Amino acid sequence: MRFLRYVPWAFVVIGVVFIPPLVGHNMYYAGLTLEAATWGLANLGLTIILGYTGQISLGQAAFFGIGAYGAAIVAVHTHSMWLGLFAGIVLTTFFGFFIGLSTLKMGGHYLAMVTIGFQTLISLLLNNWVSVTSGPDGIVGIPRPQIFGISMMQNVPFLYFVLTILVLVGAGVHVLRRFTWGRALRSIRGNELAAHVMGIDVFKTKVMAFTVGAGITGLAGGLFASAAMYISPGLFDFNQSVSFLAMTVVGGAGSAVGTVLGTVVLTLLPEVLRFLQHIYLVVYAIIVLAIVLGMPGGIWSVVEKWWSRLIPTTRPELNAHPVRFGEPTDVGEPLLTLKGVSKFFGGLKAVDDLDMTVVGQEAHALVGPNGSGKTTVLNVVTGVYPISSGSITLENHNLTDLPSHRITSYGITRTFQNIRLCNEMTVLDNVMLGLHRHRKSWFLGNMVSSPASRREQQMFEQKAWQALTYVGLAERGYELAANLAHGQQRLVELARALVAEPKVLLLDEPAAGLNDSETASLVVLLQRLKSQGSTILLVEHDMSLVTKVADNLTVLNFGHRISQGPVQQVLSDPAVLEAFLGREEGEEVAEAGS
Amino acid sequence: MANFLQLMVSGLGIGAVYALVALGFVLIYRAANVVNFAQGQIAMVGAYLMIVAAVDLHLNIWLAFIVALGGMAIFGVLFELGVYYPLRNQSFLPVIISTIAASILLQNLAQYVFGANPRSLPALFATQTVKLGGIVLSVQYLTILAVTAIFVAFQYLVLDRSMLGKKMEATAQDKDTARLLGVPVAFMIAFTFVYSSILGGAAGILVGPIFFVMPGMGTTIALKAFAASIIGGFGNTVGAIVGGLAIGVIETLGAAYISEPYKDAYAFVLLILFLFLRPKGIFGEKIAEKA
Repeated sequence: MRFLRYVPWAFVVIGVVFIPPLVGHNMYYAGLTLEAATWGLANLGLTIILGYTGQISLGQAAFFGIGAYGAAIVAVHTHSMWLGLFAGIVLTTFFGFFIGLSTLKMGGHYLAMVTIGFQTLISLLLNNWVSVTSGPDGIVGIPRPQIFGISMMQNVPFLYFVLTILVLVGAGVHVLRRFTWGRALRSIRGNELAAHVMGIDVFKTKVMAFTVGAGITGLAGGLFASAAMYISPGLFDFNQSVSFLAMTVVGGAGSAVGTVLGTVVLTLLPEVLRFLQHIYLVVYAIIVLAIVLGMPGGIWSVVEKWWSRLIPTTRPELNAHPVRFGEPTDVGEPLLTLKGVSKFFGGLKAVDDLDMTVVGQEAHALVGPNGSGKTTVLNVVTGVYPISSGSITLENHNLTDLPSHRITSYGITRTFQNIRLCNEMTVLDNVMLGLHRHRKSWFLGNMVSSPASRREQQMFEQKAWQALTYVGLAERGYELAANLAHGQQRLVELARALVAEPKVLLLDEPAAGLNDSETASLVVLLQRLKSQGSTILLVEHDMSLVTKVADNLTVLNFGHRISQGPVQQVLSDPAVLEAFLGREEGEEVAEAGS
Repeated sequence: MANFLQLMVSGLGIGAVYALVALGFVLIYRAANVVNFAQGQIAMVGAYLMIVAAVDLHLNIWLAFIVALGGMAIFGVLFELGVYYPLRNQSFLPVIISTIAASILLQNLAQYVFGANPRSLPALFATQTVKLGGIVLSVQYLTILAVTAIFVAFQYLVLDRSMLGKKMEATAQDKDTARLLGVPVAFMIAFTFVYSSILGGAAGILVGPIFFVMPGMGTTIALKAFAASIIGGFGNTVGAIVGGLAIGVIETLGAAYISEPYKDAYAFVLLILFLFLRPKGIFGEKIAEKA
């Protein structure tokens, strides 16, 4: 069945070779094909922004328009479409970068609104800045480029040109998905907090997604202008943005193929339905609604599901070498030091003036009753919450006030009390996320599938398989994280933290929700990590697990440290007993009377 | 000065229309976590129902108003069942697309049934203007303000204090807990869609006599209302009302004193300024994430 893998590519090549001569001599078909191709290219930008990164853009037609107008204006003045296309791309990447910056403060419906606002402003500019855009009349006489002296005024060569660009960019967006940066983008969509804590600079990555996505849409706009040879503001209004969004989602926003498919379907559908005359747009809308209701992931997501059943992915051979994880540290040397750390939420002192040191190769447990501030400590250490006062250092590095991804880059990784996996990604991809810290490849390198990207991918995959084997999940690597049982999801989080090779591993209630046998194997796993010299900071309620794994204990109560030291010593501390078991009744009476 | 006051009244009037639509937005967003992109088309549906009742069926104008609002209630149920309910367990994206598809559908359906030509809608009162101490005010704008005030008063004095309102609030704050406490969450969400449709429909009926009624009238209103809800603080009902009024006033004054062609831009310039300087809006939205 291996040959089946090449079938899709064969279809693509056949399409590019045969479509232009078939449709090129008919004005109507050629125009329709050019429209579908340039819109498809435009929507590939949306695939990156929305499908991969999960950032909603309702201003994609504005990028498309900026690309088209930039290209048209420059080309009309210089008589060079190449210069025009270049100008269009530069201009849109600039705007994409700017819109991307707005994701610093907002996401979700706020971002949707920013992009709608952007769309509206651009539409108004195109209509009213008559001296530059010619206003509602539009721009006429836009040239087409020449390649090696071949004029593309004829539709057939121009179709070859546009389809080639569509396929090249489509392939770039398609391969991006499986490489390091594509994974980073998808993890932002899947679980932004986890992405950040796994070392992804979420903000920068979003800006990158917007910049590249806008650039692609801008290129499409330039080609569209060149194809139509005439543009006017109405082609780039809010309705067009909505229609771009619909095309992308109907086809399947999560993949390049789905996006182009959706564009083709929704571009041709109204034409096919024209025989219905007045009611054709109603039927069109009903079909769109039906597809979204029936296939929320888009048409292509259904195809992909069948495809993966037809050709199951095979796991590479795993070598049985014993592995260890984590950067080596010196035994007994202070590693992670918290000095006077406080975290206040308004008037609530969740953590108050905490001093604590985790030394090399120890397992240090942070225990205390519910609400005593244990998880808050981990959240402050990993930069999830800003610190109120105090300092945190790892070896000689000051981690205080650093963002999460920087803290991770110094060698701290964690798991979460409430599991934070990207549910729509495979277990393997989730684990590979932990390796982002060690990436060397570039975003654009990933898009051209550079040798460095492929080497990195292979290396990361191998590491991730090793970690999955280590935690005992080697059989489940290709499953979606959502399909795993609760206990197994915890192990995926552990594997994800391990592949990052941390100096200190932070575990937030790893045994929560596990049954007895799962807890028992977790204990074995943690003891094995410890015997291999890992340094662990553990927050846990299960005292039998703590006593089996931990060397030292810090006990918190109402945000205060009430005891610290070797496990047995701390457990016999009266203050600790009181916090856990309450006071003897006699004492309480005595104190009340005094 | 008289001119300014007239502008203020028309600004507040058009702003009240935005506010009604924005209120519908916010209520649905809070109840179902859905940003309903068809809210503007709901206003359009309301306007056409009014045309059918008042013009085509020659009903008394007030009776037609009641009939049209009743029709909006039924429409709200159908909308919820057709557009939201099948996707209630999906992520936000398919739901958004579903509401967008619904908006395209409604717009084209209206065009198919009523044609693309603008139609005029009679006002609730026959008198056009009223003189108030030397200032001539449009009766329709005053009507809009009065009806909006009634709706807002109903919202805060009746609904919010009733058991129904408290159940809506519980559904908005925490569906799981609400369910455990015996609140019929699915019903409350359906009710919210119905109520929001009535609000939206009223907006359409009120704005109809000022502009013409046409299939595409919903888009602009929806965009402004959406901006209003963000400026006020998304998910905040008071914010939606204040934001709507603010946008109405600013664009009316802007068009009069700065530049008419860029009338539609003021709302969005204001919006973008707000998003960068005070992203949680005037009244703020409660956002919290727990690791």
